[in-house]
Amino acid sequence: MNDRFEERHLSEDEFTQAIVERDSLPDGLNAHLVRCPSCAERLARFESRLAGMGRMARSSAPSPARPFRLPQTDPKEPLWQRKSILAMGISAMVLLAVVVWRPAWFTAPRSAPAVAFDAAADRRLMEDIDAIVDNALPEAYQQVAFFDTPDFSDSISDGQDVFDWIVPSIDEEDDDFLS
Amino acid sequence: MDNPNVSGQDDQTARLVTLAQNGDHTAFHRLADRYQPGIFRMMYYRTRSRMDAEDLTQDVFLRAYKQIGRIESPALFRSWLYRIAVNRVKDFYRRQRIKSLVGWVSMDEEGFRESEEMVVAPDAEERLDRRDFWNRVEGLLERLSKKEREAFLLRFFDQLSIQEMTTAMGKNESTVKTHLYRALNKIKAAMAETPDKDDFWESI
Repeated sequence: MNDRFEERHLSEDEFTQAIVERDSLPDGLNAHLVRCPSCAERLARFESRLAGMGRMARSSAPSPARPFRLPQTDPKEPLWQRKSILAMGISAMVLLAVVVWRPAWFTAPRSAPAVAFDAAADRRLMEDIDAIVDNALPEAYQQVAFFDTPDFSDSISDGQDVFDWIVPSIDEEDDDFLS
Repeated sequence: MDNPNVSGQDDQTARLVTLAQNGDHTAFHRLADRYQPGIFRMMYYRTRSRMDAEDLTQDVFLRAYKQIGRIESPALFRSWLYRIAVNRVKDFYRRQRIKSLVGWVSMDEEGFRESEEMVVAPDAEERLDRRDFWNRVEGLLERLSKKEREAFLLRFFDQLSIQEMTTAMGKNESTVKTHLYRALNKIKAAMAETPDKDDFWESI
């Protein structure tokens, strides 16, 4: 078998194989390469082109501008420091959640009298609101506004001061003007 | 093709890696001094941008420092470093694609590359030669699949051994050889097709 290899020149694929790994060639082909100047020259020429390509690439490439040096401060923080930062972050988030959402489980249970007191206060508030809905004017203005009430004349006299303040009399204006 | 210095430096590298694993910053800086030029060139071959190569190289060494405790075999430091670098390049291109999709950057950066070449090679003739070289290299590499291109560059530009390539690419030896074999066949065919055929590649 080896004799058969020694008798012929290397094929293109065998040349490629020789470049990838010379030792992987059959012994007969290796022996042929040693004996045959033509095949040896072809192989050397292709290898030299590849080596030249690498050489040219190296000479065409710049050099690094500065040597690599590690950062002065260790990028890794101590474990305890990282843990404490994490703990503070979690605490802050829990506190924020309690303040913003006030979960039901966080609210303390209240006594029955306090609940009754709050209910009474709520009722009073609702009554006040209903009164304002029925008549939004303050009490002092209500009688001025209710012209169709039966005791209009009495109301107007009772509210004379207010009426004078809203529409001053001509006499008073004249007095002011003269003085 | 293997770098003869690599095996000679293995022991020293392994010693420095062990020291760095124990928190010795000076040892890590010595490792960086030794491998930074190679990693920087690797990044430059793939990005053709000095600035991007600088940033990516810094990132590779920072990551290496953070993860150096994970290396079980200190002698494999070099190939492990190239593995980080290969992954960083993949990330870089993934991000570039995303940025180009949303219109933040243009994938056509020829103008930018040319301005960077002014800094690398101020002499006009030299600059033209380099540009011609890289254009031809890009023309060859365009014919390869991603895996084939990576295998070819790692082997002939970065000068990694097949064994180192298996770690750097995260593939087994047989797969790496297959990618390299296919890449070489395509490169050989492409070189034969070019108008001036062998002249250019012979001359370099």
